[in-house]
Amino acid sequence: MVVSDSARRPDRASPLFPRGGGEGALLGVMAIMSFLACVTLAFALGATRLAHIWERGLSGQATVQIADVAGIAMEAQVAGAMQVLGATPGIGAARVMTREESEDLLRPWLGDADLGAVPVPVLIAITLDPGAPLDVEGLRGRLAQVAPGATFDDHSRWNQGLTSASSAISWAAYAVLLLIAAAAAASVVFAARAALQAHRDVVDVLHLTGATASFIGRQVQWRFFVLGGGAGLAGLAFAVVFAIGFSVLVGTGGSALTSLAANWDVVLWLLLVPVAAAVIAMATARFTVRRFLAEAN
Amino acid sequence: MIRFENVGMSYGGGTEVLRDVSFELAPGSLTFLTGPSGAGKTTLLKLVFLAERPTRGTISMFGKDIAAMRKGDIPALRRRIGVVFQDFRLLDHLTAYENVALPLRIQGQSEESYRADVEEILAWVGLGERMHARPPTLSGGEKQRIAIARAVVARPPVLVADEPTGSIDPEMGVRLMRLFVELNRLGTCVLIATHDRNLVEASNARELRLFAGRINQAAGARWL
Ligand SMILES: Nc1ncnc2c1ncn2[C@@H]1O[C@H](COP(=O)(O)OP(=O)(O)OP(=O)(O)O)[C@@H](O)[C@H]1O
Ligand SMILES: [Mg+2]
Repeated sequence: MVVSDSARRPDRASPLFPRGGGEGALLGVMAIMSFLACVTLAFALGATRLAHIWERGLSGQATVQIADVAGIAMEAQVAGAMQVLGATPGIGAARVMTREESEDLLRPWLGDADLGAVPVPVLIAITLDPGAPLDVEGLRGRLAQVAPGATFDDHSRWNQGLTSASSAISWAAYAVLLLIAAAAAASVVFAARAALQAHRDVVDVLHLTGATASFIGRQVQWRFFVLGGGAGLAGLAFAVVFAIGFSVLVGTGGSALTSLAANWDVVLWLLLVPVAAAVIAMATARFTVRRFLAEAN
Repeated sequence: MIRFENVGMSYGGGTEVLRDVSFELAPGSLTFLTGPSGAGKTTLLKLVFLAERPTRGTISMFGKDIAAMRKGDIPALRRRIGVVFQDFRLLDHLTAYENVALPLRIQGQSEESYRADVEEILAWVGLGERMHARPPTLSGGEKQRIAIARAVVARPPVLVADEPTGSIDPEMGVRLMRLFVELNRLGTCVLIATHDRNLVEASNARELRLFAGRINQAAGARWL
């Protein structure tokens, strides 16, 4: 068989380190880590978002509850309260709820009992005006003068509880993300060291031929960059399949894709996971090569 | 160019493999290093190409004490020393061509700029036809010639060869010796360790005789 040299010349120079070794194992480990990172990140983003939604829903609302007080007619209390509310900056709209509406609100606590004989407090539903600040203490003082049975409730207790719970959840999730990143970096250190150890002969020849540590690092780091990025994308794909499968199992399968589309910004955030995996793999491999060479000489 | 002063060397704190070795190689000189197996020839060459450090004494290269050198300067120094290893140390997953091109690739040269040089030196050592073969498919003598081509391709000012004709027939040995002599004539400082008396006697070069870790001054003096 006669093959001319030029026909057989490889298009690209071969990599200085042969392929193979523990790369498959590292790929698997990094893919699993990326999957866990995607799930954790989605969880953290979800918790923050849910808290925002609750906060927005609650913080636009307030109620004044007026209880029956001996010596003053309920109607007088309500009228006085409405007058005070109407004159207070920061209150957008105030509406006295009908007895039916109030009973509906109480029904979960009192059951289907006939409430006809029970004195039900009157509720005034308030929509706050986001454009003007509300002086809550001043309002409470003025309400007390005209309607001693009135209590103003702006749900801030609820709000605080929710916000601190959701931020605790987010911070815990971000801490878990950091742990996952550290574990991924550690597995890259092991894999890179094993690869260098397995190709000790190559390292020695390069070294003795005058290769610098950064030259040797470059031969390795791009491979780890590609490996980390590939593993990250695989993990992200698993996570998306997992999310769809999960919503199918809990019976919201039809809306999974639409909710994925609606939360496209979450998906964009999740794209950071493969990017981070690639960068972590590359930087760690580079660092490991330098350490290895420094120890070797 | 290369200067050893009272150099001693022991592996891992064992007995000294080299003792009180002192010599100097001038720029453009050709020197043979001879001695029985186990005398310490390879060890001495390892000190020259900075694979090992002496346990005592002083080595200076290109006028600088290597013990006082910064770590970052070592790679540049190594690039100025071509080495033919006794065990070749070719990279088995690279072709003959890629093995020979390695020093130029490490220096950051592009393939276009070195291809002609690499092909020329491969033709010179008689491997023009086998340049895309990988070392495991080559004979011992072919590997040795690739190792020699790799050591000289970047035209280093110092060439160190450990038994460069050990696996080669006498005819090819003479041809490769002519390559070393030619490079030496062009100004390369050449140090060759060998068992081969014929090689030493055929040329008129200086001989450093190593015996049980010591330079035999009497024999060396003949050439000084
Ligand atoms: N890495 C090492 N660790 C410990 N001892 C070593 C090592 N390399 C060589 N030696 C010992 O140092 C001595 C000199 O070895 P060296 O390889 O320098 O001899 P040589 O003259 O090159 O022999 P040859 O002609 O057989 O190649 C020998 O006794 C050898 O056993
Ligand atoms: Mg030897």
